[in-house]
Amino acid sequence: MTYGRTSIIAFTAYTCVLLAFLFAPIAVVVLFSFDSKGIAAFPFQGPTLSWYQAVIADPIIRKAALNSVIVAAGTTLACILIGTSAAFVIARTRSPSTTAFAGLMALPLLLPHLLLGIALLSFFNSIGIGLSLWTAIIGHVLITLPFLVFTLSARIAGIDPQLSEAAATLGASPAKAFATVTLPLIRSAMIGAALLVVAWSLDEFSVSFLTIGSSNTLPIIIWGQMRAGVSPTVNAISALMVLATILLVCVVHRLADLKFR
Amino acid sequence: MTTTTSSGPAVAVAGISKRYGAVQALSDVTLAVAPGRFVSLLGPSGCGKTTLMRIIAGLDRQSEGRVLIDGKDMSRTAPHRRPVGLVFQRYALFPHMTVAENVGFALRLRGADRSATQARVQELLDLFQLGQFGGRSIDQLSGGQAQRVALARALADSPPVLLLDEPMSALDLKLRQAMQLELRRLQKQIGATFLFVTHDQDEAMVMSDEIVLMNNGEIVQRGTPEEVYGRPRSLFSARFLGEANLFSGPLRREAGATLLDAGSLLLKSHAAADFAATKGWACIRPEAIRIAASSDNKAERRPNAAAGRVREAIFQGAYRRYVVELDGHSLLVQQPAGSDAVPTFSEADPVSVSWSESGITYIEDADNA
Amino acid sequence: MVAPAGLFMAIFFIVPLGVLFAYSFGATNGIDVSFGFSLDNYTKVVTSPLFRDLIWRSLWVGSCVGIFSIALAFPLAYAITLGPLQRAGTFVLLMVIVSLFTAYIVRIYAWRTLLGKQGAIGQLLAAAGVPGAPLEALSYSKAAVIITLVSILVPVAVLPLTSALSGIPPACIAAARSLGATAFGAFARITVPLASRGIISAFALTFVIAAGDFITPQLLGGPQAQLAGNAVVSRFGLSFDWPLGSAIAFTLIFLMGALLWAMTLVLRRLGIKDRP
Repeated sequence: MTYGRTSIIAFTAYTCVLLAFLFAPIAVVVLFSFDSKGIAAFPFQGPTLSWYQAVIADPIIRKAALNSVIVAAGTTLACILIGTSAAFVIARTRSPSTTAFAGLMALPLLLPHLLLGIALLSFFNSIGIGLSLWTAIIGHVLITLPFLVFTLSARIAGIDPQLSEAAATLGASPAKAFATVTLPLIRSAMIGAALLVVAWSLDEFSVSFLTIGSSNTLPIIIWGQMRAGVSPTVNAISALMVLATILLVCVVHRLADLKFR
Repeated sequence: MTTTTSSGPAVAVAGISKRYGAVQALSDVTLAVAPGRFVSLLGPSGCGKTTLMRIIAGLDRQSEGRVLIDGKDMSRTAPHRRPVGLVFQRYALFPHMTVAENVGFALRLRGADRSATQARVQELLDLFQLGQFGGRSIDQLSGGQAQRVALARALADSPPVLLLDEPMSALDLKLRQAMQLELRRLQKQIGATFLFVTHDQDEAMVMSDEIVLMNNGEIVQRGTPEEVYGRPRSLFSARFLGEANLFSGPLRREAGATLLDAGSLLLKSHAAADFAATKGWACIRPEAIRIAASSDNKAERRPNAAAGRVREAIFQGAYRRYVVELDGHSLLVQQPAGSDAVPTFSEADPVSVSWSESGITYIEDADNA
Repeated sequence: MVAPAGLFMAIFFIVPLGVLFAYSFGATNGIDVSFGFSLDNYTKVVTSPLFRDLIWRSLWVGSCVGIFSIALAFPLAYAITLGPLQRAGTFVLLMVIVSLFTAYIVRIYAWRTLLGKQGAIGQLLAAAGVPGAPLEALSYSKAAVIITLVSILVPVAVLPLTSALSGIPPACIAAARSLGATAFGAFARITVPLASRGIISAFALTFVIAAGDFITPQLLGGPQAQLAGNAVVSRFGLSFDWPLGSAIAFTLIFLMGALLWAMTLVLRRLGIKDRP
């Protein structure tokens, strides 16, 4: 269909305004992270990197950043180990029990994270498991596993199942066929989905907040500083987290033209 | 290139049945294919031909029965241990490998050394006129090229038996006809046994040494293309291969001849003396019927001849077809076109038709399909 | 094959939800939580005007956020699928996904720097000489919560809408136009019904996240805009009454489910048969 000049201009303008609505607040935060005044308020006083130096020098923030990385790495590893076989089942079998299994896997996506968080908190409490990075990892896996499983199963469903059969008729054992044909075809999707799990886990707040106990991650530091009143390092931490997100999403985009949902 | 250790059948299946839940895909199929033959499994979709092929390859497991390849029982052998190649309908080329990597896949798996693999791959690429395409990726190939790559890949390890699952169905008609001849030539050249699955009767007749006609999970008839076409043993055979004029009625014997009384038509043949049924069908192929001009269409009833009127006359390039209206029957007649020796007719022309005894095949009234 | 994931979901999803549900019938003495079979907590939730208000406000805010998010996201999704911006679709979608994956807490913080009492918008307006009264209404209010949540959840709504709209063959719309439909008629009778599955799932996703949120109201809401989630979190934190917190949470979830279910029933009455 062809569109008139007016509608092209109208849609373009609308899209720009909406993207501005999404990004302007973040842009302001990033801008003030370079402002020497130290609070997010106009006028802009002058560029400085001192807040970034403060972030890097602060041992509590460094510990929280390390915790964030540990939790993200643990979550991602666990998701791949647990989720890959589930993705194959959902992609390759059609039966009522598969449908039920897929429904169960999708359910955490449809529930508020608050509910998942307090459920895990109650569960750990009732069986006497103390809260730690480990329990936070379990919470993160619960949230990100459906995402990984369905991203991956969509890719697997797009692979002709006859490719494995072709490999078999050419003399490849099932393990060999998986290693030489299936795995190379899903590798980029796996890496992409894993990186998005990393991004999600690094940014996750509500479940971490409820299941991590006394440890900190970067989002929990931000929460704490915000409740304590404005702290200038929040701008710099936020800007670094936004940068990490942009990098991860762009890498995923370059890596594989992943279909989101 | 092809190794056959015994002179027995290259592939044999015995008593193969396959059920999917309540659906009986194959029932008690037994078949032996001699080495070096080009055999087509022909039948309508859903007749079980692809299932049978997949069972031979080991991709599906039979519910009952045995599979023997080169004399060895491979009923429970995993597909990668069976010495058969398979060309898939949609080729199933590996999209993450180049043409050469696809073709060399089986050799690399077997651990063949690099230079030997390279030499064999180049030999196959040259054989299939793909010499310059080795470095191409799969999505840069046309349908015909992809099909040749699939063939080369399946043949790389010189399997004594090659299974082909409707490999031509995605090609256009001209290319398909060229490939049919090419494939047949190739099979004679390398001497492997080809088992070719198709629903296209023309394709089966062009290529095969032998046709195995299947319907409803059973083998209906097998033989050379001439036998299966010329002497259909069931209504299904008669109708599935080519076109047939079919007449039913009581049969009687008279002085060594068998006569079928189809009302206004009487069919008589001495060739079917051993045909014992008292009721049945007669099949006459359209090209076995002679057609001539006639003035009177009230001729008395004679065996193997009748008079009528042309209802439709269709010109199809290489031949002309007529639908002739007889008393209570209509008859499809096909005549070669382009020859001055053959007269032509128009709609409503009065004509007489006749056929020789050898053009008649009697069919038992078993399957009243 | 399903064993690892199935086992994980059983142990860390089904069982914890069961424990939490069991807690909602229990009691606490301020130090320990004990299981029981009492409906006291639910009675408290239903009879207390405070909790009734909070839950009602959660459902209301969630619905508003869902509707506004879809209203804002739909034109964008339309523009990059059936509309004139298809070429830019990949880039726009990439931006949306960057926004989606930017930390929730960072985006809330960012809106607070804009909308807060000392916020940048307030300062800009003050510097321009605009009186501060409407601004007071904006910061720490239900409006601030809704604006922030909409901004966070527009990307969540864009994805299902995009996937639904990209599944509509343009020929369908062209056919409607050729049969005499106006541009708006074709949009209302063809495009929207065919995208209904995406619209419903966009609403369900955004509604569930917004109605179950506790972070935004805590940081941007002020006392008049707290949601049920805040009551739950404080029962699991400072005031240590897990059974009551659990009862609030399950009442909220039950009502959220009932609202979504009623919505699909109404839509099905209207002839839209897709389920979310």
